[in-house]
Amino acid sequence: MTDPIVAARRARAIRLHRALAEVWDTPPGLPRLAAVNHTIVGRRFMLTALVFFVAAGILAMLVRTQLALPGNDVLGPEAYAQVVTTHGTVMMFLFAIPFIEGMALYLLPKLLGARDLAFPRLSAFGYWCYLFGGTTVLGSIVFGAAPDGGWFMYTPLTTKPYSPGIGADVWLLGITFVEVSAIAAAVEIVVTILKVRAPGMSLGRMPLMAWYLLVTAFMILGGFPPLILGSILLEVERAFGWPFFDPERGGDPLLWQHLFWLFGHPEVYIIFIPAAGVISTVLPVFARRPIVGYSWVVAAVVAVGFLSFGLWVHHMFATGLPRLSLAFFSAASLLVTVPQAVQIFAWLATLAKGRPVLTLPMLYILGFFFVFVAGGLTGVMVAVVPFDEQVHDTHFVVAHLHYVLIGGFVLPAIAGLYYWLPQASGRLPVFGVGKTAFWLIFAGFNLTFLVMHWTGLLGMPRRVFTYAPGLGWDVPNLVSSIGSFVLTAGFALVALDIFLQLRHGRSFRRDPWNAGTLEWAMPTPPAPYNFASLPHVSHRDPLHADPALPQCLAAGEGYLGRVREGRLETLCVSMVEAEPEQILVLPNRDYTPLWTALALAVFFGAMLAGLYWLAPAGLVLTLVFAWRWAASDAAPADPPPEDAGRGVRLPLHVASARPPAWWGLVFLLLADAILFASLAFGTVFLAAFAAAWPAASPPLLSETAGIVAAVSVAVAGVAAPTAALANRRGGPLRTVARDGLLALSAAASLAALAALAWIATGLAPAAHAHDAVVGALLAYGALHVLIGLVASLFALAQLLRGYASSVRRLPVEVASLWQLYTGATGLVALALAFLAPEALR
Amino acid sequence: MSLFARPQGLIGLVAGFLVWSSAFLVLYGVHALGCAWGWEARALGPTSALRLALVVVWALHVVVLAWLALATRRALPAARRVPEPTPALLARATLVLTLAALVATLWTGLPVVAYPLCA
Repeated sequence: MTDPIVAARRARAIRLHRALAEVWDTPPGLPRLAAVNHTIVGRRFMLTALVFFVAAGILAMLVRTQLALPGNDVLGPEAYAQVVTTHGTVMMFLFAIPFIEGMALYLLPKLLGARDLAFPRLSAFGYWCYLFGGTTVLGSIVFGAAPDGGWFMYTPLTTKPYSPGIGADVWLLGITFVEVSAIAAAVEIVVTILKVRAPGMSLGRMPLMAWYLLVTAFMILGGFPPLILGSILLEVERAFGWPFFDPERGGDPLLWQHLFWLFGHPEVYIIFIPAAGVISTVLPVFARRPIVGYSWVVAAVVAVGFLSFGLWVHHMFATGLPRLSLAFFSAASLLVTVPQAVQIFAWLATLAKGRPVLTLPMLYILGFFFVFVAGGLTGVMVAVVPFDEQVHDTHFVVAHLHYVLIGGFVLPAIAGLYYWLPQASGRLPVFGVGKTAFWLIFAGFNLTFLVMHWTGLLGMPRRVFTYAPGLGWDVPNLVSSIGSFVLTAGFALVALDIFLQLRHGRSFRRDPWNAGTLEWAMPTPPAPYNFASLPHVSHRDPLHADPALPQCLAAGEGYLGRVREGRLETLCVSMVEAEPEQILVLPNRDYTPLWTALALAVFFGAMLAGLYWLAPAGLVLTLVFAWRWAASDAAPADPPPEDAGRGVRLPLHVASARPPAWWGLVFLLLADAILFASLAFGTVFLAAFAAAWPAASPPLLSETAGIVAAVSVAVAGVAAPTAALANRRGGPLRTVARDGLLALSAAASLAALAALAWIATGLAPAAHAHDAVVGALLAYGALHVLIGLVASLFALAQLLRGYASSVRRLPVEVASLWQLYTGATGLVALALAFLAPEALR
Repeated sequence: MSLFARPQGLIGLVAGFLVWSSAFLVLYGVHALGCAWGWEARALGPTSALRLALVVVWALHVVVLAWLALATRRALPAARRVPEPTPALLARATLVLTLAALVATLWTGLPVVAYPLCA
């Protein structure tokens, strides 16, 4: 007979589940286009990334078929260049990074004890950007119009005279569109980890996976902006003839390499670090003990995050830089192995001190150890300058990078897939296909790429579409090609195994691996709200500390165990100690992300089609949707604090001093500042080192206009923060002053726009890189001033309509922060435009 | 209240490697500009102006990092006294990272002492 207390609890849990499901659910059909729930968006990211992985894998098969025999004619040189470029581009930009983002978006709220991410609509927007940009890049190969300059798109090969077709534009615009998605995901991940956790989950109790993803997201914010800038500059050169990379007109092709590898090397670690996070999560579960050296692992990941930014020139060892410069980067390249080794020893120690069980995920992790350590060792070899000069641009480097990327990312990702698939599907595997698949992958991979080191040492260069017989490359190439087909068969078996698991897998109750983290504290497959009520965490492995926690949460005994006014709610906490701070009210089913992404697609599409007159309309449309997006969050009156459960009363996020959106802007501006720093670096680089400087006729910049612009951006940059200060303090007089100051900041922005346009009249940007970099600096300033103008007007409009106040202060705070940033960078941009080129020569 | 129980503690966590980043970028920048401007040819005492500039930049960053490491070491006991686990963990990780950044700065900057400058 059922205990009446247990029965009552169960009935309460079912009632709560029904109430929550009603408000959180996204019905199938057309409403799915409006889906913003993190489970749906995260799954979409991962599935789309896997489709791209299959496509890039097929391209790899074409490459290996072509190279299997000398003088082969499966692919001609043009087709080969397109196939090999698209393979690399899709694997790096459309598979690896988006898969990580999808995994993070799906898992993070579940790991952190939250119901959703900080900005669900931002993730949905990012997904659409990724889908539109990625489809454009991959689709181009069907029409024979794919990029063909290598996945790193080196100039001058990719400039207009040497790549006159549309392929390079497809890459530059498509990948930049996808990178909008990466920046959106990074902001989402950082704010979610720092602010949207379960109460009590202080940073010291946070799952290691969250630390890894936090570092990864910061690396995306730091690493992607240089490439976004480089892509914009190269596209502007191709479209309008501004010669940033043309040495005859004051540009320098090496600038592209700097900007690309400033992104490109951290990118490798952006891919590896989350995979290492999977290992740090999965390995202790199957070693049956907590990880050894939690704080050492955290320190090691942070150190890798930083050191990986000091390696970019090691891709440029053969460009003729002075030996001392190379020595800095060689030293840093060797150094980065130390924190990597710390992690590896922490994993080995965990295995040694635990009682390991050889499950399928563990098999893939053991494969990782072998492959990744080998890839790391060849990494040390190419970090040594004289050795690198011998193997530069040979198949040795291709072998090394595949050891690092497949060993460091794909094998742990499969381990993670097998580990978390039961969580997502509610089913366990029934057949042993996964083990066979592992051995095929492991054997096929090593057959392909171990042998490829030899091919490289024998001198075979990368990117050649064929080779003559008798050079000693025939046998190793044939072996590599055979190996690659074995590898593909292994991946196909993994796909079959997953299909079988999803269709015929065994169902289970909860937590089949006896893990301690919160994603296993919910029914599987998970409900859209994750937790019926939110836990108070007091241990690093909450499920081990309290095995009854899932039942308590399901019965609504944690925080927010109710549905009020049909709202979707989760909690915000303080960053370090995770004290509850705010009730975060979330949106559901909103088409705005889709419309905003489509508006941005108008911009990118118009640029790609050469309809430059239409492109600004896309940007204006995007701003209109952004306005609508921001306005939809507003509340018409100051809401009182509410009961959040467990005796805690909290303000709603709209009535909080620092809601998540404010933090989102802070981290977005961090990425923006890095983009600006990259532009400043480009200016200094060209001014100091480009060959054709100074220009025969330097730009004629109006000093009066410069002074007006400087004063205007400074006024806007001071007026808006002063308005925010007056708003925070409140009172009738200060209210008038606040409105006046916001109006002043808007007026100053208008004046700055006019002054910047005036300065630009003295430029001939297609004539020389001097004019072009000054033009780029002015354009950067103008775009920010324009957004600042909109932000100030938006804040003023919300205040006057009663949708903002001294309590609901976000619009004013956003305008303040943006205008402050625009003022500071505007002054630096003007100083660089007027002074740097002359001062540096 | 320990610094490591506040959000500022997170800045402490990355402070050491921010200094390393500064050392790395300034050394690279000064070296590149110094070579472009011919500082190698200008003698300054027993060495060239460029090498002296690089050594000064390197040494300044090392001094700042040594000071940061000492300050973190001094803050450690207060963090350990907090009953919650996070401040102690952040303080320990900060100390490890600051010392690692100090070693990294010594190692990556070491070539400025003896390497040929602009060859």
